[in-house]
Amino acid sequence: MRLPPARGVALSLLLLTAILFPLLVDNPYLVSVVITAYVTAIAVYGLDVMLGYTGELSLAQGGFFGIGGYSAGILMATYEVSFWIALPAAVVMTAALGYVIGLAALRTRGDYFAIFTLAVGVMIVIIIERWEGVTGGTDGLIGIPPPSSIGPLRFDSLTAQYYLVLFFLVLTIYVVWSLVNSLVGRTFVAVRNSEELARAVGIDAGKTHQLSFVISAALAGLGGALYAVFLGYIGPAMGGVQMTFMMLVYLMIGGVASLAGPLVGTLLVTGLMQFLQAFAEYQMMALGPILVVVIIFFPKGLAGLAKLLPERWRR
Amino acid sequence: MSAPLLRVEHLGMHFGGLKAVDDVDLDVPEGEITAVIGPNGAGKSTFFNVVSGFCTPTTGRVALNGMDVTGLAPHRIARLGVARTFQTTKLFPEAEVLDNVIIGRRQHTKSNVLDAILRTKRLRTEAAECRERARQALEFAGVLHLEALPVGSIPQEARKRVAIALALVAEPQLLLLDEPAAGINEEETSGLTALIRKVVESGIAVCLVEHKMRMVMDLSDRIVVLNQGKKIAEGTPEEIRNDPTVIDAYLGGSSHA
Repeated sequence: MRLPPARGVALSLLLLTAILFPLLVDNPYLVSVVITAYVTAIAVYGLDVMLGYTGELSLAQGGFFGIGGYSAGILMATYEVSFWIALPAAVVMTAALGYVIGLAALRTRGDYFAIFTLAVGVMIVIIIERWEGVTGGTDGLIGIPPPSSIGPLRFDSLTAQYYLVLFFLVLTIYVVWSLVNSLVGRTFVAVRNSEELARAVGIDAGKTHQLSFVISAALAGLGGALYAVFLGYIGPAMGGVQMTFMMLVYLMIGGVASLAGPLVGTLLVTGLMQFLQAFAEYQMMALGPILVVVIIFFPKGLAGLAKLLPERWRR
Repeated sequence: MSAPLLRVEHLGMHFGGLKAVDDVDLDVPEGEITAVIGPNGAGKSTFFNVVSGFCTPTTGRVALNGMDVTGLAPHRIARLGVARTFQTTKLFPEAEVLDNVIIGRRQHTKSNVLDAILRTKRLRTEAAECRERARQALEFAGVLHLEALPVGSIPQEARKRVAIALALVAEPQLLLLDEPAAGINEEETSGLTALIRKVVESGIAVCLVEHKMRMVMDLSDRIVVLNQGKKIAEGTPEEIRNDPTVIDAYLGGSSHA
């Protein structure tokens, strides 16, 4: 699968902008906002694998984000495990839990699946809050160290952490892109389109859902682990239902089942929320109408709009 | 004597007190067209759903080439060489015709997530092979020229051909067609009849549920008539045409309705 040249150029320019960003913007606050958006976007990509490509809405994504964060955080802060071991361990742990939860959750579909996973998400927060000895309870977990250096590469500066997170974001986008543009992605979409037809052509729909759910959870785990390490402290709210719904908002606004959607939506809404921070609780009042407008007029989000406009101009 | 391709014995599918299929025996031999007909609600669709694994029968057994497949999941039965179409086509209207058909070949491929991420040779070979087979199936069904169009933009008859191409791309031994001619006109029906004949000539057995009698009489080697879940007659088109039980079920049923 080769990219058309125009898209290749556009992608290179975007990547260049992302690479130059912390060097050009001399504002640590802004850089840290973008880092937070990147790590969240990784989990939003996971949400899109399940919702956009496989057609099931998982509302446990925030919970998995929390599991990834707490797994990495506990390993690093309590057991002093190196980041380079804690990160893959957190991803594997989240994926494994995703697998087990999927075994039960994927007996349901549609609204029932969404409600089931919502309940799972709520349970995850409760467990994080109550398991004080391990998670620090409602006080949260503090003292998560920055990643240890590899040879001359040190990760204690903001810029270095920015590049680290950018690397994993690019990796995530590559993984999702390569899945979507493969027989595996075709299988996901076939199940989304019609589970009945997919089964009739020999596709194991249960296994396909399970695979998609595990990938979705693994990406949430990756994002969560990076989030914990980047912030240095975490609280139960990172695994909360509100986190899930924010991710869903990012995805809806950015565009479901599009490669740019999760990143565009997360960056844009995170930026907007920062801009509106002065208005504190009224932030949500601005977000609500925006979401409604996007869903009614651009059901495929901003990424869908970007695809639509050139077609209209050509006519 | 070798077992027939499909053998259904004492098949029963009960929903509570309703016997949608009641003690039906049926053989589909290789290389033939067997039609299942009957008035509305006779149990034809349920019969298909049981054979293709979407319903587990209450009684009886289904065997493929002598192997018991009763109660297997639909994808397992599909992989054993049984393809089916649905009464209402379930194609993905927004996707291109070719993309809709490629997935039918997936059951013969082994590429997994790692192949996808690492872009292995296996993935590329299999993807190219699926594409090639899908194009061949579309050509066979006479709709290759539409390959790049979204399914939603092509005519109803072409969609039915695409659905058949999707079933054929897996190279099944048995093709179950659930009312392939529903909702298309006479001329299109005869085109579709020719396609089904071509399918059988290529060595695939066909089991057909259809209301359009001319199509059934033209195509079938043997016809099985169901009424209220029970098999009431079986024979050649000629025998069925003159069978008083069948005439009664059809005419009697509709005059009372």
